[in-house]
Amino acid sequence: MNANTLKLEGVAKTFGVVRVLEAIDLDIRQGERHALIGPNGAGKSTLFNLISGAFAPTSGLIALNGTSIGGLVPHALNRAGLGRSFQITHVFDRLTVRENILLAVMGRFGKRWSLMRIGPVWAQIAEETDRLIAGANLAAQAGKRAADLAYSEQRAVEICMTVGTGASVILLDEPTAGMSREETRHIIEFIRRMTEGRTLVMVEHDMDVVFTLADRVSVLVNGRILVTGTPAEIRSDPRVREAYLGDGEH
Amino acid sequence: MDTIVVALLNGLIYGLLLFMISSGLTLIFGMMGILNFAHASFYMLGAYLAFAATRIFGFWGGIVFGTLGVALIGLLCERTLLRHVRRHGHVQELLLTFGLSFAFEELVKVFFGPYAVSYPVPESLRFAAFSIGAVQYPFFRVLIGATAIAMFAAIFCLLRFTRIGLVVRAAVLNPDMVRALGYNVSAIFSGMFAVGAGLAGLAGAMGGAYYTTNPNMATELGVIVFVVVVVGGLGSLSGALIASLVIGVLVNAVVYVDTTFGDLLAKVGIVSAETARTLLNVPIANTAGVLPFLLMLLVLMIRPQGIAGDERV
Repeated sequence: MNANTLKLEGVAKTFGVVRVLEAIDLDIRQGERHALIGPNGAGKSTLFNLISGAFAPTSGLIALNGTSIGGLVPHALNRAGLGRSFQITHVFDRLTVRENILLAVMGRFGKRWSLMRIGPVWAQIAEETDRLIAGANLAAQAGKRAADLAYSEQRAVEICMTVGTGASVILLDEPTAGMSREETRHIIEFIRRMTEGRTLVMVEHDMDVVFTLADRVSVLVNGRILVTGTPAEIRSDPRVREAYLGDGEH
Repeated sequence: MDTIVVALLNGLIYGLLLFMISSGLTLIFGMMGILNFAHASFYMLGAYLAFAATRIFGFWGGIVFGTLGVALIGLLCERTLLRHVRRHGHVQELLLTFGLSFAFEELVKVFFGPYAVSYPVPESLRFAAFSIGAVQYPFFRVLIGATAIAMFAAIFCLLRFTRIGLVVRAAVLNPDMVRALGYNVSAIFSGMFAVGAGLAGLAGAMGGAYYTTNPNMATELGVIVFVVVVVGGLGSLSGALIASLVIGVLVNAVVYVDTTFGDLLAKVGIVSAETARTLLNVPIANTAGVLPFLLMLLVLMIRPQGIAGDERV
């Protein structure tokens, strides 16, 4: 497989006359956990939306495992191996936890249009679903409606779903937003476990999360990548301090 | 007594027919957020297609042809027209489907003339299912009701117990997430639109034979169908069923109420017997046409989301 699982080359996005992103180059290596950080308005969400297919880049190339994915519709992106979560929890609140995760796993096994449950593949689907539920410590909640779960549990369900589609690259949009310290610690551990052997790209505000979880960090400032490096390099980089960490707000 | 039972039964059957049409409308709204003004036109097209096909395929063949034909028309409308205006918002969708309803009506007039066509229930099906007192209750009416109930059961089981039903329910709740999980939501939507249209077509093919098949049938029923969907709660199948039955029974039963507004108010003591006999000598039975709207008004005042609708709407 290509060493650069996700590659962005000269990616730019303009809304009307506003240039939100200019010439983003980014190499996400296979198996790494990569965090995108930056002050508010730096273009993190836009970049996330471009990668996850919400809209197409104005120019530039986005490639997943060596093939261009710029402008692909969301369901095609998922089938190409890119799984994503949303900033606002997107679980199916009126379905049970099991049904939520089942939906993700069904897609992975190519059973998207099944009326009947015939064949050994359904046993595999059930097994994989149970494995994910157990991995998230949700076995006791499997029959509950997702709406009745605690917020952090809902996020865990959503991450299970993203992973359950079999995606090799996982995009997480602020996975710890709105969580308590305790919950955050929990979910970090959970994300680390679930994304084992996969590539993770996440947008995150919480610096503790970023520095604990990420192998490498890219700092986005004013629509440009200011610097990419290990957490230690980023911490000590004077430009980052000036642009971002030094303002004492985060 | 017998008359009341028959009136209630008639109301029930009419309500079930209403449900056959409104179920498609409410499903389409619930899933795709499209308020399809042309939905009642699918009902009319079902009747006309069945009428046209009866000569070739026989009565039953006509009903099948009407159902499948309208499902196909629905699919084409969605894929070639509606799909392209969706991103421009609801107003464009409303305008487009509104235009479609006119186009369908005029097309029908061009091919079949402006008056009702003779699309009768065949002689072989004109027998009594049972009798209530002196009244012979026609079998075909019972058949319409049974078809609607079977349809409700089929949709319910499909949505509730099958995996594809799970995908559809998920797509209603959160299409973005379903897309993110790798499902082609627009294909699911097209399929649902076709099924919804086909159900209206089936209702038309059966209802057109029993009631009348004319170019106005879409307009006549269209408004009531919208009332059903609003009263039941936009997007709710069980709500649509309850609302259809309530409206069907109310409209049919009120005709048999043998008193006037004047009498009623005089009894309570609000107006004098003189006013009751003259100014307010209006039979309550006359309100049959207004009742559905009165019900809608009440529901919108007390429970704006409808009987079984949720707060999202």
